[in-house]
Amino acid sequence: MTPGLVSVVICAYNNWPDVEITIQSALCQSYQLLEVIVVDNSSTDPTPEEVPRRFGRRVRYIRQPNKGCAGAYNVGFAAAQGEFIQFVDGDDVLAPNKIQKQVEVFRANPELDIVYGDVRMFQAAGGAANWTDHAMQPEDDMLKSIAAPPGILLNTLGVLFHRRALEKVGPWDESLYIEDVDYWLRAAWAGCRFGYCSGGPMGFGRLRPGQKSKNSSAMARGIEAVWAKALGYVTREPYRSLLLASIAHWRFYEAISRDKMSKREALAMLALARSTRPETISALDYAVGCLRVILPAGFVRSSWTRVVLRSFIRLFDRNLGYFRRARS
Amino acid sequence: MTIDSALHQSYRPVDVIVVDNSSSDETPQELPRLFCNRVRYIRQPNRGDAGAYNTGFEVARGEFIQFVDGDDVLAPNKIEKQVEVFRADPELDIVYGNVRMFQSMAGLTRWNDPSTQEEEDMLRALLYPGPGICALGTLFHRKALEKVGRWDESLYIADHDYFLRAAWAGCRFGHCSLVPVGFARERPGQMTKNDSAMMTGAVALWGKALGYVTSEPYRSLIAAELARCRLNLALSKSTSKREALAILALARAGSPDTVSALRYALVRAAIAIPALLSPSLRGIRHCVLASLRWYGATPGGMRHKRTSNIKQRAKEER
Repeated sequence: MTPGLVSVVICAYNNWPDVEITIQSALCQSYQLLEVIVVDNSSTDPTPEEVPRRFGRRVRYIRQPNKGCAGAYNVGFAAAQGEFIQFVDGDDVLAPNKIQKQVEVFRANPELDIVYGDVRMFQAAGGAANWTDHAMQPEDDMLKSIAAPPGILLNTLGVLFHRRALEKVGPWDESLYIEDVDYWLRAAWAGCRFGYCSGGPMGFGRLRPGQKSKNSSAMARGIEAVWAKALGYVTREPYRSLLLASIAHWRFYEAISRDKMSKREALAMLALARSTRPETISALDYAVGCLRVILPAGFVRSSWTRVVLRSFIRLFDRNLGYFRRARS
Repeated sequence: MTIDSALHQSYRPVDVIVVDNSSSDETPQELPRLFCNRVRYIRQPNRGDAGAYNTGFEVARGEFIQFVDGDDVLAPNKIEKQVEVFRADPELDIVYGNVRMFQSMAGLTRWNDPSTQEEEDMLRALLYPGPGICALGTLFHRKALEKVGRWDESLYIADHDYFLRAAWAGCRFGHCSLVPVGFARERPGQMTKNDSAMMTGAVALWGKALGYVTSEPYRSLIAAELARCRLNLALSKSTSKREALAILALARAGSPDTVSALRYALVRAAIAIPALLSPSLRGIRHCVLASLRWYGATPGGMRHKRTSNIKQRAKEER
């Protein structure tokens, strides 16, 4: 390990030419003591020719069989020499002073293990912008903030790790679809100290069609797997019941949004949500949910039923904030 | 972050000049302290974007000039990629590219990111607010700025005026395919958020363009655009009834093709009887707005106008 050195691990998979901006955003940081490691998950585009040709010895290029982001992060970390580690996906862009700002936070608070900040999204193609950016803030109890519904979502792009955090938490889980939420949960459970870095976006996340996170049913299954895994190791209260509440919320939402789900399955999912944690999904919530599933979609979408349903939900449902968030 | 994004470019050498329009925040203390002699710091009375660009260009020594507003961010290889385009075609005067917006505050986004593309006739393209060329996404060759002259400090929308003048002066534009070449910050209280000032500014901009563009078909396109902006201004809440009627008459006089008798009558009615547009008479308001929209005018600001114009343009191209 080299003190003060920052290792930027870039996970590339068919991201040419976007990955060029990503690599440049790492190389052109205001913090200069850094190394860039590009882990290529067997891209079939020009990445394997272009990256070594254009950047030569300024980046370390590692090609491996496709093991997902988690696999690339693990390989990158194994090769990294730095005291601090930054993970970036191959089409995102680091803000030019991101590393400098976050290293300053580490220097000011040497007990911190992980520093996070805000990330803003941008769209690859022109047109109407339609997404929600989430605000980050300092958190007292990170495990609680992640586990409790609606749950905050750290973005790997906006995070800088101290090496000891990664050593403490262990490798990224390559079997999960959503490896980052799992990692934050494990880090918080392992007692890592999180620090917030204010001062503008730390990075710009690219939104484009066909992204992994656009596959909503896979995301839904993926997040359930993360929660289920967390239940296996989170043994203390109140975190366990918060996790259960999150799972119940998530299943409820999944059932009423009925993404690729038959009516029967949706009703089963609702029942499952209710049995997961009856305190979270009350009988009334359950009834409203069933109504939404049973009523034909056109009926639910017609404006007056929507008004009635919405006022119902507003009156009785404590989970409204969660739905809003989940929808976005 | 803006200064860092300029200082830490993959292209070297870069000379960064910060022109401070008399900021009343910590800028004058913090900037020289943080960046010392890596940037040249100039403080001047507030003369707007255009005034700062002029001052900056006066002291700039570079072959290529980049203008950036104080809250936007350049992509790390923006200059490199656009200089490559210049090197590949030494004839070019101006190279532009795609800019993407990001928001300062968290929350739901509501804007349209314009796409840029190669344009055969840049002047024509600029007459529709579609091409999405802005100062942030553009790299100027020195000879372009010398040819076109100073930025107009009297205009609210100085950049579009500049690109129009550049296209009229025969500057050659090149396109850079990097996405994005820069990140433009979207925040409350921005200049572009002031709808009435933007509408007045647009009228001034097109009025000025009509003064120097002397060849067809550009003149009639500008006249049409001017008439459309005047219609929007007449329909906006910022004008009194009297002013609105006068502006409307001007619009009709300026381009009778755009402002047909029917449209004129419709807008006149909407101005004379404000109740037609009041939210309480929903049905009537919808009818009036829909019929106005049909004719290409949308009360409610530049942003809507832009999208409708893009649609119109797409239709024409088809």
